[in-house]
Formats: sequence, C-alpha cells, structure tokens
Amino acid sequence: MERTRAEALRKQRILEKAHAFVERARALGLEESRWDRYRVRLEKPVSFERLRGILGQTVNTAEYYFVPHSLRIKKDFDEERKEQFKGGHRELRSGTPEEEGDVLLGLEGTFLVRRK
Amino acid sequence: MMERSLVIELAGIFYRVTGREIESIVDLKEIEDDCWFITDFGESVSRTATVESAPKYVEVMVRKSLQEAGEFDEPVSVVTHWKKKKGPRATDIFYTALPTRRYYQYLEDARSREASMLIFPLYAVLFGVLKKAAAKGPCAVVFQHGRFADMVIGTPKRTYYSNRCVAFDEGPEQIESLWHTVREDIRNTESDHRIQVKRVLPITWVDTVSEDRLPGDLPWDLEALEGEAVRFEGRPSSVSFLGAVRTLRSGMSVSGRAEKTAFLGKKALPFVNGAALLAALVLLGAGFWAETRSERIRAQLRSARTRLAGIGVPAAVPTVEYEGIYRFIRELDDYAKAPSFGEILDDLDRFHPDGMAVELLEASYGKGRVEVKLYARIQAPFLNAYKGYQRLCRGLRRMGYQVETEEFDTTINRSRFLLRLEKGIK
Repeated sequence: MERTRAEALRKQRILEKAHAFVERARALGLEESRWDRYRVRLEKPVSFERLRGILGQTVNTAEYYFVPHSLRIKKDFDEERKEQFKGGHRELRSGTPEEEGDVLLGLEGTFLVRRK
Repeated sequence: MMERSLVIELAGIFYRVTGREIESIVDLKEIEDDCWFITDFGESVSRTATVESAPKYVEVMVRKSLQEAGEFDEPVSVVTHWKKKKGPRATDIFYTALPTRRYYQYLEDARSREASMLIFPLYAVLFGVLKKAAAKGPCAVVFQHGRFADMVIGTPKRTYYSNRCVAFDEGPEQIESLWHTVREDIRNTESDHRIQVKRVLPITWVDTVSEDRLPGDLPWDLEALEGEAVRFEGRPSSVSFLGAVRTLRSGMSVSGRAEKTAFLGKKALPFVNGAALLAALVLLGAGFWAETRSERIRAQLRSARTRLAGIGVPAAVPTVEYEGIYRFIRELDDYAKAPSFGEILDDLDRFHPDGMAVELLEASYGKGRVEVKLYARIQAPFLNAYKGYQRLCRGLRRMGYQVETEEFDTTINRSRFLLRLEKGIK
C-alpha cells in the first residue's frame, strides 16, 4: 500500500511539472494561435549585394522564425532569363521593375511571426 | 526463365523479357513494374587501359585522356568494372565511358519512375561471364548481336582487352568480316600481353547470326553458353544471354544507394507481409488472453481503490492539456536546428578552392534533412583544381554533409564539378 502511495505522489509531481511547463510556455507566447505564417516565394535576378541582404533576412530571430523550403542561385542565366522573364512565361509582381542582376535567385520559405 | 522482369537495350532497341517471352518495345515508359535494366548506353565505349595514376585518381585521368583525345566533346562519366594497381605508379582499368549528360539522363529516368529500376552496364554482364568461366586460363567472351560484337578478354583476376566490333550490316559477308575483326583483336591481345587465349565463349541473343554462318577457320573452340528456349515476338528462339545475366548481383548496378535499397526492399515485401500476418495472429491470440486477464485486474483495482480511500493518497492533479503546446515547441525547435540558407553558403565558402565560381546552387529541405546540389567550375591547372576540389569534399564531410554524388571533369586549365550533398537536421 505504501508503494502505491509513493507512486501516486510521483505521478502528482510529474503532473505539476508538466503544468508549470505549459504555464511558462503560455507566458512566453509559445502557442500556435499567437503566431502568423507568411509564405514567401521569390524568383528574380538580383545583384550580389541584394542577394546578401535577402539571405540575411532568412534567419531565425527572437520575433520570427524563417522556415526554409528551397533555394536556387544560378549564375550565367541569360538564356534562362530570356525565356522566363522576357518570354512572358512568368510574370513579375506588378509594380516590381525588372532588376539587372548578377545571379538568378529562386527562394521559397515561410516566415513564422509572433503576434505583438 | 528469368525470375524477375528484365529490360535490355542493345544498339538503341529495347527488349522486354517476361518469363520465356521476349518482345521489342518502343520506350522504357511501357515498363510499369520493378525491373533490371541492362544497357549498352548508346554512345558509350568500353575499354581497358593502363593509366599512370594511383587507383584513386584513375577515373579522373581516363576522363581527361578521353576528352583530350577528342573522343568526347562534352563532359564524360566513367563506370569502372574492374581496376588494379600495376607497379608503384600505374593502374589497370576496365571501364565504360559515356557522355555525362546521357549517363545522368539514364539515372534520372530510373529515379523518376514509380516502380524501381536497377541499371546495369552491358559490359558488367560480359565481365560476370568472364569471371565465372576463365578459371582455366585467359578466354574471350564475345556477345554477337545484330551487326555488333561486344567482347572482353581476360581472366578472373585481370582484364586484358575489351571492344565493340561493328559491321555495316547483317549480311553474311559483313558478319564474316565482323568475326574476322574479332579474331584479329584476340590475336593482337595474345601478342601484346604474351598470353594464349584458351577458349572463346560466344553469347547469343535473338538476332545473333547462327553458328553455321560463322567463318569455319576460327582457331579456338567455341564453347557457347547453354541456350535457353524463348519466344521472340511469337517465334521460337534460343538465347544464352539470359544465363549470362544471372551472373549479375544487385550490388553491381550503377544505380544509387536509394534505388538499390528501394528495389531490395520491395523484393523483401512478401516476407515482411508474411511476418506481419503471423504477428497479427499472435496478437489476436494475445488479445483473448489479455481480455480474460484484464477482467481479473479490474476486480483487483476496484478492491485496491476501496482500500486506498482509507489511507490518504494525495488527490489527483487535473490532467494537463500539453499536446498542442508541446508539438508547437518541438516544431520551433526543428526550425531552429535547420541550417539557414546563409549557413549553407558559409559552409561552402569556408572550403571553396581558389578560382572556384559557382554556376548553380540548389538547396531543398525535407523531413529531417537538407539536400544541396552544387555545380561549379575551377579556373586553375588540373592538379591544383583537383586538390582544391578534394579539400572541399573533405571539409564538407567534416561539417556533416554526406556526399551522395560527385562528378569531376577537367580540361587543361579549367575544371568543372557537380556535387550532390545531404545533411541531416538534428
């Protein structure tokens, strides 16, 4: 009977720890309902400097996570670019002027952002 | 009779072998089940050579010499059937070479199919026959099909010569001329290597010219492999090539590890199903036993609860709903562990050889792993370029990348390479 009692106490301690963990996670805002997801899809010629700037944002910070899906960097893309960008197979987002670039960047991922 | 589905490509014609039936097909797309695919790779050459190089670098040197000799005007892939160190600085090699573009096309086609397909070079079959048959001394294996004769001369320990002889057509005079070339090749090999070829082993296919049309003055005993009765497009025929195919093992395929594993896994499926059925029966029996036993335990539990009420066991803590939060935190943890795009670029940059310029970099993230494909060129003399390339591979391995595919091609002052890498996300 003593053994049963000790077992019950152990279970109680575990449940209390789990309860404290959940409370702490809630306090830190680690609930899915308090985060938003933004899917990013990019395919355009960019300069090396702009490439560095874009990739510099695709990291994890205290406020957001970046979930990488795929990356494609292609140099010497003139032929491909002619087909994709000048041939009208793929439309750039309206208002985005066609940029002269050193490389063709293709990037997909999701930003997971904590709500303020 | 073949135990498995088999597809054979010879001089651009595809044959499907199902049991004892052989038929020609137009395209590989007609094959929907798991199969072995034996091919002569179309534009390939199969040769032996002695190369001034350590065994480790011999394929690179072969690629280089083929390109410098002008045999291929594009990057070349080399499939090695056999190689052996010869003296302190040289290596003997028996290989099949073909344009890298075509080689990857074959591998990609096989990979993109729903059913599994293992690819084998034709000369792996001939080499398999040679290894089994040549214990009593050098012999020549000759596979004559249509206007072609593919041959390999050697012993199980050494390959002396291999070549494809070609006639203009399948007329009697041309086939006689074809065998004349085979005879000359064997004689030259005997003279070059100071050996005596004891036997010639002809292998036959559905379009092999029958023996009575062969020249009568061949100086060797023709020890044909035993033919198997088959039907080709409805007509009876006898071929010994199917027996030769049985010398192959899955491990000899040029397909990747993933394809081999998938193929072997599917082969094992019936046994796994059997084991699962057995396990289900055992569990069913165990279920009846457990049901009886659980009723006894429930009675004991009721009695224990009654007694517990009297000794002050602590009140139960309400159940905590933790699954959703725990799952989300695990998800965030996975995201935190995945290398960012920038980290992958840093890893490549850390070991990049002098003169390297990236032409294409691709990274794709899957469950628990990231796959990276790097296609780059190195503007440097061959030796520097190759050493730099090896340093890059070593460095990436140290960083936890697994090199799945590597291909290095070179000209005099410029080299190109392709790396397919995989890294686990832990």
